Amino acid sequence: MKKTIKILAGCMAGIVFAFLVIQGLSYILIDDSNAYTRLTFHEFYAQQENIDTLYVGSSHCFRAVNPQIMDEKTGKNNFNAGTSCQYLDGSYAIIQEAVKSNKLERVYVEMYYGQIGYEPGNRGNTTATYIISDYMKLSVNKVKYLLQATDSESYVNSFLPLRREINKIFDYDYIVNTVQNKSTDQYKNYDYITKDNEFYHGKGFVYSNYGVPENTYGDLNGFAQINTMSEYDKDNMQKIIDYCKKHDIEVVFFSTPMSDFRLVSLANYDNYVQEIRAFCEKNDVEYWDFNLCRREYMEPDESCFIDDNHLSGKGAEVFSLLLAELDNGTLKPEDVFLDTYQEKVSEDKDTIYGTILYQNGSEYSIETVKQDYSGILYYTVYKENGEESTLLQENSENTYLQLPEGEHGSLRIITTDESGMERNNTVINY
Amino acid sequence: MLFNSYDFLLFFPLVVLAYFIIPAKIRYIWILLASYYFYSVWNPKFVFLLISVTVITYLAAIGVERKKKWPLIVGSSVCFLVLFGFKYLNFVSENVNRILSSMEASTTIPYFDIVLPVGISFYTFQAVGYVIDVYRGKISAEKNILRYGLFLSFFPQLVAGPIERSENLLKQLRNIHTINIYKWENIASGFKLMVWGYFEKVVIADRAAILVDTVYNSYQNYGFWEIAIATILFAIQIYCDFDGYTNIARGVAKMMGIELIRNFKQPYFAQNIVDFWKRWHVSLTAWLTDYLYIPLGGSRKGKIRNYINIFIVFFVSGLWHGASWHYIIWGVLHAVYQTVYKVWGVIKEKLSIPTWNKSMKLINCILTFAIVDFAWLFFRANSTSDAIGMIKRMGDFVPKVSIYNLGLSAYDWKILLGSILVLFLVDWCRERKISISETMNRQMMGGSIIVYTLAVLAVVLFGVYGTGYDVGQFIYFQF
Repeated sequence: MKKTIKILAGCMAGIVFAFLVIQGLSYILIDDSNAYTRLTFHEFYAQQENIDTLYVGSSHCFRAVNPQIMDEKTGKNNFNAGTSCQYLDGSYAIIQEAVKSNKLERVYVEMYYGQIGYEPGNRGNTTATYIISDYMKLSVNKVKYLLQATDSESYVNSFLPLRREINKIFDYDYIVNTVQNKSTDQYKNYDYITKDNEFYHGKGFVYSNYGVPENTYGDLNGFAQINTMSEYDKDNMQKIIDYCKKHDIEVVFFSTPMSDFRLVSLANYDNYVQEIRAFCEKNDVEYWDFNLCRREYMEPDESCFIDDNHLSGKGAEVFSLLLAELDNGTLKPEDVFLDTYQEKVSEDKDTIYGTILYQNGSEYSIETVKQDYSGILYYTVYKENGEESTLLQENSENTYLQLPEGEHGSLRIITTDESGMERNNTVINY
Repeated sequence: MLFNSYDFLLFFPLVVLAYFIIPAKIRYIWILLASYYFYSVWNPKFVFLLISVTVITYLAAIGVERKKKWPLIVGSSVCFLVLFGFKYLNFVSENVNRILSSMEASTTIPYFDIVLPVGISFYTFQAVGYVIDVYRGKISAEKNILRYGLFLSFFPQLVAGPIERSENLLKQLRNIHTINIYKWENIASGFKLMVWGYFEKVVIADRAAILVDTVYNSYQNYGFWEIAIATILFAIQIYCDFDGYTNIARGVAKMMGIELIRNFKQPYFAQNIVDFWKRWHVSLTAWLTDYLYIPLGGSRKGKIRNYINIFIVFFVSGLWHGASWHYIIWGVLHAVYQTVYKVWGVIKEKLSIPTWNKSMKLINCILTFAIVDFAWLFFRANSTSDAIGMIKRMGDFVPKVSIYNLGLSAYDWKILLGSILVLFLVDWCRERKISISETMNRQMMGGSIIVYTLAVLAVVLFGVYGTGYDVGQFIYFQF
């Protein structure tokens, strides 16, 4: 008996020692001093006041919904729990987490098309899961989320974050930097972070204080076409709906505005809208796609975006004001939204949205994303390398370029119309 | 079900836990069921093969005990025929067809789509060894077919050995219901063996495999330095892979109160090639010695006959490892080494050349490792032509790439070299008969707790598994 107690004590000591080693190594190897979700979840759990309205979704959510504006306009406590690349399973886990200590009235689930069409095994992105799970409190919900959202090959990484960073164990500079970052009062007190051109604004919202200059949209090779929902997506969306209904929470699915440059070049955005709308209608829940918003209610220009699909701080203000009116019932969805995006864009006349540069080996072709423009377009192309700029062609209709195989750099493409007016001026890295 | 898989990490504690709970008299039945389940996970059809070999050799042993020789011949022949059919038939067909083709004959021998049953080389030899032991009177025939079935299918050693002897394993299984299994020492030492085995496998072997595979799978891109490094690391990989597996197997068995034989005894500390084979894959060496070499006459029938016997044994050893010429060449190389060593011994004696003194131990060790490692090149190569190609490539002494471009990052190199150093120290302690466990136990209890906790953490944190890696199958599973 004495031996048994001795052995059990030894085992406990081993477990405690292992825990201490893991904690120590985690402290020196995991640098999350710049992580927004660390702050988001700290505030999430520390809310003194009941969260009335919760927002979940991807970066489109945490950059678009300004909780301060929503609080002011709705008189409720709004919390933005969006995280980068958040999938529906993550949204579901966060909603369940929120319900533990809040009586939610409404949940808004942001639906970015880029997060659709995957299963956990083929996402190729476990970081999106980990930035949520690493800051969730230990619970059955967290365990279930990790078991579901990651495959068995990732389990050790999922439950032991230290292992993801273990390859830095010999990087002395990194360790010193990490310890220094974590020793600051800012880190210990969960002070808000400021990065270049953006800052953590509070309650999960990130404010970007820059916008895209006018008429400068461009991209290399365009955008991958939209997937249809996977069975896993449908399963999680259904779970969210059922869970909210069970807990008497109103759920609204929504999509934030993106640039017309992105949407027009996708060409099949309406298929996506139809699919999500059909699923929502089947379950008697709302879907608000702000890309179908009538222009008289909101027409964000380039300064409202930080790129072709994320709102800037200014854009978030515009968007949040509109969202608040819908939330209050001041505006009705049927008045605000058109049925299709095509309906909206077909009203645009003589519009140049941006430029896409397609690459095929050493051959490149220029395509202008436009609506209702039938005239000739002329392209002036410069190869830029720091301060150096080499003119490749001037005011030419030619859209084909040949560049040395394997070369990397930047091309400035200036598009002018027949009247000589500059319609687009973009720099694309190739 | 690989030992380094989540399935096994769930399977074995459940099996061992139930083993502790169920009545002693039916323990062996429980382990038999668990063993057959373990084997069926690989491929359920293989189970019928295992049952067939079990029944045939069970009956053969009983027949042999009645002083009849023919059950031994029939039983062994059937087992070897089965092994031949699954493992060597296509090899023979391929080579016969090659000969026929060179003679421009129109006939060809058909090639069959055969899946090699996991572990067949191991349990076939174990079964035949048992029948011979009964014939020789070393052990009585087992009358309980279930117990005998467990001897052949005991899951810790079923798919990759060690090739157990009836005098060891079967004797223990006969007394399994009397073993006091509730001993902390068994659980503790079993756990330690498993931890060490996992360390060898997932920290060292699977990490070394990354570089070895990179070089061996595209040797045309590399020269002397890259191939030499890869071959040296393969020596480490195969040792840690196989010894790791054996230690995990021994650890699991130990927890159940069963002792399996050690299969490796610090092989790279060998002073000569004969010594090497007393330390490497001991169970196979012992089997070939007892059931092939000695019956052929061993060294009792003159030198020339002795050399021939050595060649036969190592030819069989090479063939046992795989139905491919590069394995046979590996075996024959070792036969050459053994023969040269013996001849050199005779020459030394005749010319009164003094034996190297103890200070030359390190040189002996290095030389032995060098010739063994050269043979490993043939063993690891994907084919004989690849092996020859690699040797030719080793004539190019210009380094082709940085060592960090062979699949291992700087971090991986540090972990690998550090863990090889640990391996060396552990083997060095064993070589000097320093019991690491006893040394730990003599320290304060805290000392051993710290060491074993760190060992477990090392496996979990530094192991090569999970995302980004292919879960490494144990090398000897393919035999």
